[in-house]
Order: sequence, then structure tokens, then C-alpha cells
Amino acid sequence: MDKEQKRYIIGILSEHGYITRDDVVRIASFGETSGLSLVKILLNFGYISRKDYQKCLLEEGYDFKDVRLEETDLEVMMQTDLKSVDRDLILPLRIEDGYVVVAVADPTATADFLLIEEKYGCPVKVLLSSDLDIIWLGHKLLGETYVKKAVFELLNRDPESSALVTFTKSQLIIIFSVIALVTVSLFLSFTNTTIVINMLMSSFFLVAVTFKLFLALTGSKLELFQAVSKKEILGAKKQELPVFTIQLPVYREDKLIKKLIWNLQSLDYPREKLDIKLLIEEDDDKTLNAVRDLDFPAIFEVIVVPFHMPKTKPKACNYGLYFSRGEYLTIYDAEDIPDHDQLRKVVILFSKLPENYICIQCALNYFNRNENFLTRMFTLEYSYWFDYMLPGLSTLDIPVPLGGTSNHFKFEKLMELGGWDPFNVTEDADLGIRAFAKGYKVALVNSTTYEEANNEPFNWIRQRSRWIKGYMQTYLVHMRNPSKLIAKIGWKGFLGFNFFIGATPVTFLIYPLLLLIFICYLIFDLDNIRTVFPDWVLYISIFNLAIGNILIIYVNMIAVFKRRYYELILFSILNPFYWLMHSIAAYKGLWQLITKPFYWEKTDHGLSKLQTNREIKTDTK
Amino acid sequence: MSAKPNKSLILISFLLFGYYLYIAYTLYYGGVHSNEALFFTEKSALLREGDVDQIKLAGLTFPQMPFMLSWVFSFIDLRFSPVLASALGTSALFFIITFSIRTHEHRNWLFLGILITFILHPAFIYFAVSGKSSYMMLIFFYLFLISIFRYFRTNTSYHISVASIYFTLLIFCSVKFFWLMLFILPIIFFVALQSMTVAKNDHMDKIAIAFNTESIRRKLVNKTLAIYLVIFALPITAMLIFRLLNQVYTGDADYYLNSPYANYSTITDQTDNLKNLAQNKLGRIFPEVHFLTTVRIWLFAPLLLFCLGIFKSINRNIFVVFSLFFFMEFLKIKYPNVYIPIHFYAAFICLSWAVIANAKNIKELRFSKYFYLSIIIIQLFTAYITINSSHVPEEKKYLNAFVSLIMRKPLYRGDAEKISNYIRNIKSDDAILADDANAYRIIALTGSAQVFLTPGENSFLAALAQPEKHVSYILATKKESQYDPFGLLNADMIQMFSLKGISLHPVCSNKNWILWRIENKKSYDN
Repeated sequence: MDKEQKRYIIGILSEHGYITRDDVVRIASFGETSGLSLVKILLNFGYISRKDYQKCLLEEGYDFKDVRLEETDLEVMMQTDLKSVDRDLILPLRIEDGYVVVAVADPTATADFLLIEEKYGCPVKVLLSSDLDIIWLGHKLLGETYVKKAVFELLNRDPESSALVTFTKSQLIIIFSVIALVTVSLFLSFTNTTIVINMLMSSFFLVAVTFKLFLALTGSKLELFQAVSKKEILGAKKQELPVFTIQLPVYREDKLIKKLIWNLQSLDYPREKLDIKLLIEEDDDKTLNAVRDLDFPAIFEVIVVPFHMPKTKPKACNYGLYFSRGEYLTIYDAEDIPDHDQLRKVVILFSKLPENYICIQCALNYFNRNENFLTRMFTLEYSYWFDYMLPGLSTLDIPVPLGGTSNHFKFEKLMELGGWDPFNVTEDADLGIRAFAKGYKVALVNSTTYEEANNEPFNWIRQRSRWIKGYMQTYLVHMRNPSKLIAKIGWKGFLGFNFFIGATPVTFLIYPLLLLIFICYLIFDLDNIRTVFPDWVLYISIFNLAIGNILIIYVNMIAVFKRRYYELILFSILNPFYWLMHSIAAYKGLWQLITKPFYWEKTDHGLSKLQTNREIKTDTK
Repeated sequence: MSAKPNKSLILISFLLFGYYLYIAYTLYYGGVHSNEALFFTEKSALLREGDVDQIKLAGLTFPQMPFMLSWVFSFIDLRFSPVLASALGTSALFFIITFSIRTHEHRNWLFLGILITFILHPAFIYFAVSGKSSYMMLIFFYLFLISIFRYFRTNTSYHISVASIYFTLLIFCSVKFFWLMLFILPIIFFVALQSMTVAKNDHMDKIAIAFNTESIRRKLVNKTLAIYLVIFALPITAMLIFRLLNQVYTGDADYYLNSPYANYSTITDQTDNLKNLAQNKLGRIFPEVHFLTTVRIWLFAPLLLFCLGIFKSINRNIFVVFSLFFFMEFLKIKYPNVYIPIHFYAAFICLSWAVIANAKNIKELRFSKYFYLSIIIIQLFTAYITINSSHVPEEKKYLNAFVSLIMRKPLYRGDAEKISNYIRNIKSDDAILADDANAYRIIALTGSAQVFLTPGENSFLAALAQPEKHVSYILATKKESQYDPFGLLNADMIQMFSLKGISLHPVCSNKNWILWRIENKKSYDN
């Protein structure tokens, strides 16, 4: 052990030329302020790649073992806290022949070995291992407490807000009563009942769409508003920037890891102030190996989420919360390309806003918008959603359903809210409503994260069915006690919630029915339809359907203006077809809501063939 | 004036409303009525009291927007409802215009000119007290212009989409404005070109570069198309849907234009506004013929002169003004047999204010406030001259009524109400067979539709076949009446009834109408 005692890891790496003198100073200083181990800093903050690290130690005569194949004694392991394993990358595995066998990523961390010797009362036997394997094993075997908290924290603290129960008893009574009432009415008076249903459906459709137009127009007033100016960004001092946690929940995204690093490296934020967590599922060896095989230094830490049902993104994010260090926290998807100054903008805006603003949502848009019909329609949709609709909701003081990524939280407040609901498949939208109900506000900032638009129809439907199912879940959760909800968010918020969250899936569900009646009316024998629906019913339903469609198209048309995506405007005319795809997804979502409510439909990413960086550069021109 | 509508502005608007109401009340109950107001009253009465197809009535009566507002006011006072709406609407127009100049550098004296116009200008008083839909047309026209100008300045989607919505509403107030689209097309292109980031100042240079550089050309085409679509997609599709509904419901896509049951101008354009064409064509100061329409516009709206200085600074505005002049000339070509109503001319006054409001950041207006106020005063006189030489009889009728009011002379009261007064005394059991295609005036002046049996009601055809079984009276036009060819119940029909052995006795008549009582009425039991 003499060799190790004399030379520390940064000295070895420096001697081999893997890190510079400046790096040594920076690492030492960062280690002191952050409390992180040197090896953690080296491997997770962009100083050396894992391959080089291994190569250097092999050259020094060290031998790497696969710790995942090692025998473990849970009793021994349990004496160490997972957080310290995560921080120091030292994991005692078992006691063998009077030695405590310890898996380490840094064989020169002698001070830590002494502490372990003292703790276990026997000398240490070191097994040099990959930091990723230590993390994997540590989280798998010691992460149970945290993963249970990640799953059940909200349920224990605020069971009424948890989507674990999809339908409450009273909701089921109402639903079945309505079904029974409709059935009986159909038997008693088929024509009148169908007329009433038709009128209700078509009027609801029109009102819901008109509300969206109203929101879009309200939001469009803020088109030129810059929440944070360039001057303010330039004025922000590096030293004063807080630690910012970025969570990157991934599952089988091995192809995107390199892209992810490029995107994160372009963020204009001090490296030491970033706390980036790549949340990998326990069974996701593909992604773990992709991280292991990187040829260049990574700038993120890996957190392995132990297996526990439900296997959802919010569960992973909740788990990641217990290992986060940031004052603020945000989530990105693996393929996301945030604006380089986004984090700075968020910090500045938080400092300008009143205390009750706990979340800042950035706009989302797509880098592969011109790839095919689907990506074009998706871009139109996201443009009006994030550039017009959400600012409209925010202006009118109506709960804002947060977008899937790029929502930046005050960490403390997020913990206070109980994190995300792991049983809700649109946990972000749900969190927005929960925050609003507690009197907190969501602001929007003039910064965009570019994502990859789904370019494959079946993949699109999978993704959309999850979103729509999540909206249904969120609606059911918050409408368990409407009077309580009104008391919390007021009438305006309540109506806004109903028309935005509640109406969205319903409009998708009724849309094909209305269209079917209209098509039958146009194509088939008019007289037959007239026996069921008299002229005035047809007049009103055609009016509602036609005007509703026009307004949807119109909202999509407006969407092109802010981002100057003029070439997409003609595609907005095709929106009725796009809505039919929504309807398919809505019915799938409804089916899943009943049969497997917590099932997380995985969306495949990385399907786009476009060169993202080039695209972005073109945009900025 | 502050950035928010202050109390004094609201108060002045209400005072103006009261002022209009006073004049309107005096005129209405003095026997001065407009066809459009009576049409709205009659439709509101049918909608509330008649056994009619309410969807057809509410959904297809045109112009839709003013009719719906008038119907709302009918719950306060049925007969007076269109006038209430127009008085309030014109006050609202005053408020909107004044509010839009609230941050203008010269807002104080601009406000004075607006106030003078709304108090004294005969056309604006006419719009306010006649119950016609002109007020709403001018409101949406003004809002459309203001939004378009703001879009020109800021390039934001809010203003362009709002402009589009206003334009749609404008069309549902006056369908002729649909054609304005044709003349706005080149302006949009010009604006799109101006907003392109091309390193040239001169427009011709910009055009040259835009057309010769592929990327810029593509962007220009995309942007121009996008603006076209956002402005015009909504009005075009709204109109298409409206026509589709007309088609579905009545079998005629142009029902709202062609049917006298849906649109009062179907008959007035064939009678009042057409009849005097030959005799009016000559012998006027400025006959309404091509090119001289432009002269009439300048005569009616000399405020445009005031805008000349502004035009020079903001050349996009010139195009907008030109487009309106072309539009007016186009109307003469498109509708050669119909005179252009005065509200189209008044639109130019509103246009001038929109231009002025849009030019609030221009420090140097070329003319002083005295020039502006002088024009405002002159405009009052030119308006009098123009309306006095108007080819539309109704406009002249109101102008003469205003003069009579000022001169404290008695108002000319025709015999229009004679029959209505008689009908008011008829028992509600005694139904009157009437065709509201042309008899809406009588029904409206009666103040109730309960006693009338009109073509919109299910039993009308049966009553037409055997009136003696269903009704006690028949309201029919006289042979010499100009409305005689436009209704089912005319002098010929009365003759036919007589031939069928129905004994009819005239109980009341006026210049155009006779109310016949059926002497040998049979009950259903017989």
C-alpha cells in the first residue's frame, strides 16, 4: 500500500498528462467546497474519460475487477449510507478472512480506507472497480429506502393527490349513473336522447376550441415580451450563480448519450455549479455501457434507479431528488437541446419574481420540424402550445400544466410539494396543478429547448396516448372533490382547469363521432339522418363542427408567426387529420386508463435523421 | 387622458348616448323610421313571439351581428331595440376611436375634433338614431384598420389575428366588405417585403434582391402567404361555412342575400335604392358614377387631407387608403344598380382617424390643430351637401328630419303607422295573414308579431290556400305600391281570393297597403 499512500490520484493523472496543473488546482478547490470525492469530480465533471482513467491506472499496475460479479453481504453493506457511496465511490461489500472487502473507484483514497477500517474494526481489502459498477451495485442493494420514498412519499403525505387510485368510488358512481341514465333515455326516447347528446357534444367541442383560441390570443399579446433581456444575462456574475441540478431520466437511450454530452457542454453555466444526474434504470445496461464506452469526459453523474413498480419517469426523477445538490432543479430529456443561456435566464428570472413563483417553464420546440408531415404538425402544435397557450394561461392566472421537460424548480419547494406523482403518466401537468392549488405560481421565460419531434406514426400514437391518459388521470385526481378544488384555485382556475385539462381528452374523444355524423350527412342518404336529427340539430352541429375546425386550424396558423415558421402555415389546414390521430391516441389512452393506468408507453427517441446542430444554427440565422 | 379609459371619457360617451337617444326617440315616435331598423324589429318580434323556425330566423337573418344585438335589446323595448342598439353602438364607436388616441401626442385637440364630429356630423347622427347596422360596420372596420396598422408596426401575431377576427365580424355586418380583400392583397405583399431583413433601404432595391436571391425569395413567399392566410382564412372560411349552412338549411347558398325574409336590402335594392336611378343620375352636384365616386369621397371626408402629411411618412398607409378608394370604385362596378350607402363614405373618416392614431409617434404633423379643427368643421358642411345630394331616399329623409328638428319644424309623418295603429286594436284571436317579405314595416310598427301569420310559420300555406278558415284579415299591397311585386300577398292575390268566393272588405289602408277583413270567415268546426 506504500505506493498508494504516497501518490494520490490527481497526481498520477497529472504525471501521465491526462490533466493539467490548472485542473489539479480547480479539482482540489472544487473538492473542498463541494465535499465530493476527487474521483467523483474527475470522472463526472469533464476532466477525464473513464477509458483514460482506466488506462492510466492499468499502466500504473492496478487491476480492475467487475464488482457486479462479487459476492456481497447485505448486512455489511447496510452499514454504509448510499449517499456516501454515491459521493465517495467506496462500497464495502463483505467481510472475508478478517478483511473488509471494499469496492473503490480510486485506489489512492487512503484516508477513506482508514475510516472504513475504524468503522468495521478490520483492515481493508481493496477491489478496484469502475465507478459505474459501484454506483450500480450501491443503488441496487442500498437504494430501497429511497426508491420506496420516491414511490410512496406523495401517497403518504397527500393521498388525495396521488393517482394510485384512478377512479374514486364517487367518480365511479357518477360515471355509471350517467351511463345508466343515457341507456334508459335511449330506450325511452331514442331520438330526443341522441339529439341531446349530439347538441352537448358539438357545443362542448366548439366552446373548448373557442377557449383555446381565446387563450392563444391572450398569450400572443406577450409575443414581444422578453422576461429576461440579454443585458441582464451579461450582467450576471459567475460567482453568484447557484448550483443547478439537471435531471436526465433515460431508458435505453444509448444512442443519444454522445449527443446529450454535446448539448450539455454547450450550456453557458459554470461547470462546478452544475449538478447533472443521468438517471438510469437498474436493468438498463445498454445506457450504462454507452456511458462506460464514452471516449471523452462526461459531465454528468450516473444515478441508478433500483427496480420498483411503477416503472415511470416521475419515479426516477423522485429518486434522483435525494441525491441532488442544486438550489434549482430542472429536467431535460436525452435528446433535448436547451438554449445555451437557459439556466442563467432562469436564475435571473427567479431573482426578479416574487417568492411564490416556484417554477419557470421554458418553451419547447423541435429541431427536426421539416422532416415529415408528423414533425411539421407537431411543431405547429408545440408552437401554439408553448408560445401562445401557456402564456395565455399564465396571464389569466389559470393553472399551467407544465411541459414534459425544461421546467425549472426551486428545489426546496419541489420537495415540499412531494415531488412528482409516480403513478401519473403526465406527472408534469399534475405537478403544475398541485403547485397552483398550494398558492404557488409558474412563470414562463423567453428561452427554448429544442427536442426531437416524433416522426413515426405508431411511435407518435404511443407517446400521445400516454399524454392523453395522463391528462385524464390528472383530471380525475383533481376532480375528486370539485368544491375543494374551487376553494383552492378559485372559480377562474377551476373553469380553466376543466376547459384545458378536462376538455382536451374529451374533445379528442368526441371529434371522430362528430365528424362521422357530418360525413354520413354529406355522403349518405340525408333523409335517414333527418329522421334522427332534425334540420335545426344538423344546423347547429354542422355549425359547431365547422367553426370548431376552422378555429383549430386558425390557432395553428397563428402559431407560425412568433418563430417565423411561415413555411408550415399550409400544413395547419391538415389539422383535422392530425386531430384524428389524436382521437386514435385518445381512445387508446382511455382504454389504458381502465386496463393499465400506470403503464408508461415508452417513446423511442433518436429516430430523426436530421443533423441537429446544423439545424439549430440555421434557425439562429 | 390617461392610458386607461378614464371616467370622463366613459361619462362623455354615456352623455353622447343620451343625446342620440333623445334625437332617436323624437324621430322614431315622430314617424321617421329606417327600413333596416323595422326589419330587425320585425325579426326580433317573430323570434320572440312567432311560431317560426327559430334557427332559420336567428341563424340566417342578415346582417347577422347587428341583428343579434338588436334582438338582445328587444328584451328592453321591442320596437325601439334597433335604435337603442345603434345609439349605443355609435357611442361605443366614439369611445373606441377616442380610446385609441389616448396616448397620442396631440390627443387633446384630436379628441375635440372627434367629439364635434360625433355630436354634429349628420352622417354619424344618422347612424346613431336610425337603427341601421352602420355603427357596427364602422366599429369593426375601425378596429380592423387599427389592428392592421399595429401589425404593420410591430409584426406581432396578436394584431394580425385580431385584425382577421375583426374583418370576419365586419363581413357579417356588411358582406360587401368581403371584396376589400382583393385590394389588401398587394399591401400585404408590400408589408412582408418591408419586414424582410434585406440590407437595402429603397423598396425597389429590396424587391430586386428579394426576387433574385433564392432564400429571401422563398422566405418572402412563405411570409406573404402566411399573412394572407392568417388575415383571410378566417373570413373566407366563415363565409363558406355560412353559405354551406344556408345551402343545407334552405337549399340556396345565397339565401342570406337573396331572400327578402333574411335580408331587407333584397327588396330595398330593387325599390328605394334602385327606382330613382334614372332620375338621379344627372342633376346632382356629384353624380355617383365611376371616378366621381372618388371626388364624392374627398368631398365627404376632407379629413383625408389632414392625413396627407402622415402618408408621406408612413407609405404603407397610402396603400391602405388607395385600396379603399379602389374598393369603392369596385363596388360601383360590382353593384352597378345600387347606390353606395353613406356609411361606406363615413368609413373614410374613420380611416383618417385610424391613420392619425397609428401615427402617434410622429412628432411633426404637417398641419396645426387649427387646420385640423377647420377641416372638422368643413366636413360637417360637406357632409350635409353630400347627404343632401344622396341617391338613397332614406338618407335624405333623415337629413330633412334633422333640419326640421333644428328649425323646430314639425316632422314629416307619413301614413306608415296608420295600419299599425289599426292592427293594435285587433283582438289577438283574429289572425292577420301577412307576408313579411315586404310587410315587415307594418309588423314592426305594430310592436308585436302575435297577431300575424307569416310565411315562416307552419300554418301559413294552409292559410294561403284557405284564408277564410285560418285568419280574419289579410294584409296586402296595393297595385300601385312599389312593394307589390315582392310579396305573396299583393293585389293580384286579393283578386284571386275574391274569385274564389272569399268576401273581403278593406278596413284600413295607406299609400302602399290595404288591410282586408274576411267577411265570410269559417271556423275549423265548419
